[in-house]
Amino acid sequence: MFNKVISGTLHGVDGRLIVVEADVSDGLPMFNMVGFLASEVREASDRVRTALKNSDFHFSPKKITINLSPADVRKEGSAFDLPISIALLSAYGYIPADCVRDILFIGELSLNGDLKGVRGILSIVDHAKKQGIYKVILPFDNRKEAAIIPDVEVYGARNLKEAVEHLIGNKLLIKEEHTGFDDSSSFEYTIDFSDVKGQNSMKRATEIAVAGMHNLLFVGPPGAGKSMIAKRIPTIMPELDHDESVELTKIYSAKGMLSPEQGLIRSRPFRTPHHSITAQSLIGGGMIPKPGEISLSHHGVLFLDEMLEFNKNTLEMLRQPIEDGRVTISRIQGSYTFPCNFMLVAAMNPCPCGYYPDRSKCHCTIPQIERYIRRLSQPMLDRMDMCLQVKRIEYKDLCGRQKEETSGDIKKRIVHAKDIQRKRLIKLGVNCNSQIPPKELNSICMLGEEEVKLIEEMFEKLELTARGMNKILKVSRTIADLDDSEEVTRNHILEALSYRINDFMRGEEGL
Amino acid sequence: MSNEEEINYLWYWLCNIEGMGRTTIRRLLEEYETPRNIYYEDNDIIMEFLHRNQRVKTTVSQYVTSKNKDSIIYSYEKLSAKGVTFIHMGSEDYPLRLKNIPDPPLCLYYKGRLPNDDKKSIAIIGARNSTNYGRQMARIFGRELSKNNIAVISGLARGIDGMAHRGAIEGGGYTMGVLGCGIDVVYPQENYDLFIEMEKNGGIISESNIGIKPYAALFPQRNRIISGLSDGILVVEAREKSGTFITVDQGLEQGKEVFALPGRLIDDSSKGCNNLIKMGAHFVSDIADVLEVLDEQSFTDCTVNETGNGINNDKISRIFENEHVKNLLAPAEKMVYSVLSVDPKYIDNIIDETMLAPGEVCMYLNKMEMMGIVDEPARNYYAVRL
Repeated sequence: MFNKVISGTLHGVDGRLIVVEADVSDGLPMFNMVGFLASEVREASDRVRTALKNSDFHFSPKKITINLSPADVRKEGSAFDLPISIALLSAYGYIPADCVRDILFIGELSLNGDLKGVRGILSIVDHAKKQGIYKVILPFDNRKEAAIIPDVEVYGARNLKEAVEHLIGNKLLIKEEHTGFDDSSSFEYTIDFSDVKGQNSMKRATEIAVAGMHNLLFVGPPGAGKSMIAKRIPTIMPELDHDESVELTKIYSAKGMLSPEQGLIRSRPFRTPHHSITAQSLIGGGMIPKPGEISLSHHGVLFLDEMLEFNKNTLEMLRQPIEDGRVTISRIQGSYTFPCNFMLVAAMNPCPCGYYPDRSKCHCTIPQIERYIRRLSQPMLDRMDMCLQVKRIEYKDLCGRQKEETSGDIKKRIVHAKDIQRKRLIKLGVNCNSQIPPKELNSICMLGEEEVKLIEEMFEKLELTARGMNKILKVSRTIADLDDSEEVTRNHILEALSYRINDFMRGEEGL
Repeated sequence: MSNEEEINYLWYWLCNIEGMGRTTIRRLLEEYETPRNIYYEDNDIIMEFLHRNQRVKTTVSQYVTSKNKDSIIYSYEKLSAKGVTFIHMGSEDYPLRLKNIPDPPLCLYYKGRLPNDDKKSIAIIGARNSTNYGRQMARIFGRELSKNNIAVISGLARGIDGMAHRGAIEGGGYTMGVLGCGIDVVYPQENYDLFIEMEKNGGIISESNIGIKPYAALFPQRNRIISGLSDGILVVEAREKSGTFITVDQGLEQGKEVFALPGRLIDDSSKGCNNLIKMGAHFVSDIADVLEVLDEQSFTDCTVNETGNGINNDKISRIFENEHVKNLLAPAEKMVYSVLSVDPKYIDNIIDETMLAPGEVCMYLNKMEMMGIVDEPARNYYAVRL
C-alpha cells in the first residue's frame, strides 16, 4: 500500500513543504529511505521503528520505502519523524488515507514515542498556510509558536499515540487557541533608563542615535556605563509592530531559540557577542546556513563591546549587511537571505590601558595609542555615524538625588521623531534619517544661508571630509526632528558637531 | 667652480663620510686646519692618522669612495633642489651663539631664515606628554615673547615644543625649530602644518643631513643646539625625569639662564619645573620675569618691537581674565564659558554645573569652539583658549 503526508522544512528563515511518501510492499523485509537526506533524517528510520513498537503498533515484516520529495532539496533536521511514522501507519492501514490528507505534520520522536519540539515551526506553518494547508499536528512544545499564525488549526500532541488517536477520531486533541499579537498591552522591560545615573551627554547621544537609527560608537574607559546604556537602548525604541514581531520570531525559531511557552517575541533584541566570535556566527553560516548574531539583533541592537578586540576580518564582513539591512549567504545548495536591520552600537577603549585622555592614569605613548586606534579600519569607521568620548562615572552621580528620566519619557520623544521621519522619507523609500541618500540630504535639511556658511566654516576648521559632513547633517536632521523643527538650524548643526566621527582621536597629548 | 663653492663642497664631503663622527673630524681639522688640506692629503696618511685614533669605523674603501667629486657635487646639489641651505663652521652665516658652545655642530642644514645674532632668543621647552595647561602656557609665552621681539627656539616635537612654535607664529615673531632628524623628514607627522608654517615665518634647522630618520640617539645631541641657539631656557612643564633636563643641563654647561614655570605640588607633570626652581632657576609668573633677566644680560634693547610699538607687555593675569571675550557672548554662553578653565572639563561636568540641557551645552561649546575661544583638547573635553 502507498500513502503520503505533508511535512515541512526550513530554508534559511523561510518554510518549504516536503511530501513524505511511504510504500509498503511484499519482498525482502527492509526499511529504505530516499530523497537527498542528511544523516539525522536517515537516522529517523531507527527512531520511527522503535517509537512505533513502543507505542504498541505492530507491523508484519514487509519491504518499506520512504521517499521525501522534492528529491532535489536537501532534507535536514529531525522534524520528519512524525510525518514518516504517520505515512507508514496509513500505508499499513492503521489510519485511513483520508484522515491524513491536507494536514501538516512536524515533530521529532523519542524512542518511547514521545514527541519533541523542533525549530523553525513558525516559518513552516506560515508557509503551509500560504500553500493552502490549514491544519497542523505538531509536538505539544511547539503549539504556542504555531498558534501565532491566524486561521490555522493547531493541535499539539504529547506523543505519537495521541496524534494517531486524534487522526482516527478516537480521542480528539484540544485545538490550540490563536495567540495573536496584542496591540493593547505593551511589553514591559525589566530594565529602565532611569537606572543610569548621570552620564547626561551619553543619554542625549543615545537618544539621538536611536531616533535616527544612527550607528553609535562610545569611546571610553572601563566603568563608564557604556554597556549599561547600550543594554537599555531597546527600552527606548518604539514597540515592535506585528510584522516586525513575526519576522523576528521566525529568525529565533529558525535558530531554535524560542522557549516552548513563548509566542511572538515582543521585546526588541539586544545582542552582545563576545569578541572571540567567528565570522560565520556573526553573519550567519554553516553548511546549511543559519542566522547569525546580526540577524538575531534584527529590529534591535547589536552591541560590540571592545570593538577593537574583534577579528578585523570579522568586522569587515559587517559592512555590506549594515548597508543593506539583510545578508545573503550562498552555498552550493542555494542562497539564503536573512534579514538583519539592526542598530550598531560599539564601544572601545581609547588606548591600550583604557584611561586616555586622563594622563594621570594613562601613560600610553601617542604612537601606541595611534597603533591601537588604527586597528579599527577606515571603512568600518565610515559605517559609524556618531561618536562620543565618555568618562568614568563619578561617585556624586551615583548617589545623586537627581531624578532621572525613564525609558517611557525618552521613548515618547523618539516615537514622535520617528513619525516625522517616516512621513518625510516615505517617498524616498527609506524610513530613518541615517538612510537618507547623500544627494537628497541638502533638500531634506532645508539649510538656510546662515547654515551653509557655518558648514563652510566647519569644513575648513575641522578638516571634515564630505562623508563626515554628510553624517553631521544627518544627525542634525534627527536633532531637528527631536526638536520638532521643520528646518535644520545653525543650533542643530552645532550640537551635532559634538558627535562627529572625524578626528575622534586627536594627536594631542592628553589633558 | 668658485673658491667659496669649493669650500662648501669640501666641508659637505668631510661632514658626510660614513663612519666618521664629529670627534674624528675635529681631530683631523686640528691636524690639517681646512677640509681642503685633508682632501688633498694622501689617502694612506689619512688612514694611518685615523687608525692612530681607535674606534674609527671608516674603512679605506669607504674613505676613497667618499672622495668621488661627482657624487659629492650631486649630493650637495640635491640640497638646494630641496630648498635646504648648508652651512659649516667656516661660513659667515654660522650662528654666533653656536660657536661658543662646547662641541659646536660642524655643519648645519636649514630651511627658512637663521636667527638674528643680535636679537635675544629663548628656548621654550617641555615634555611631549603634556597637559593642556602646559600647552596653553607654552603657546602664551611663545606668543607674548614673540610679540616682544624675542626669537623662540624649540624642538618641533609634540606637546610643549610644538605649542611654543605655534604661539610664536601667532605672535608674529621669529621662531626656529631644531630637529633631530633630517629636515625633510616630518616627525612627528601631526606637526606637518607647523613645518610648513615654520619655513615661512622662521626656520627649521638640523645637524643631520636630509633623509636621516629620527633615531633616539640623535635627540640629546639636538638639544645642545636648542640651548646653544638661545640666551635663556624656559621650561614650561616637565616631569621629574624628563628629556627636557638634557637640554637644561646642556644649557647650564653653555652658561645660559634657566627659567621655569611653577606647578602645583601634587602635579606630577610639573614636578621637574618645581625642582628647577628649588635649585635656583628663575621663577616665572609673568612675561616680564623673562624679559628682565634677558635685559640684564646685555645692553642690546630687546623690548622694542620691530614695528616700533615699544614695550608690549600684556600682563599674563590680564590674559587669564579674558574680559574682552566674555563681552562677546550671550548670557547662556557666558554661563557655559565661565565654568570652563584651562584644565579641560568633560562635557557631563559642564552640563551638571550649568544645569542646562545636554544638547544646548553641546551647541554652545561647539559655537565657542568655532569662534576660537574654546579648545577641545580631547573629544568632548573642553577648555578655554587663552
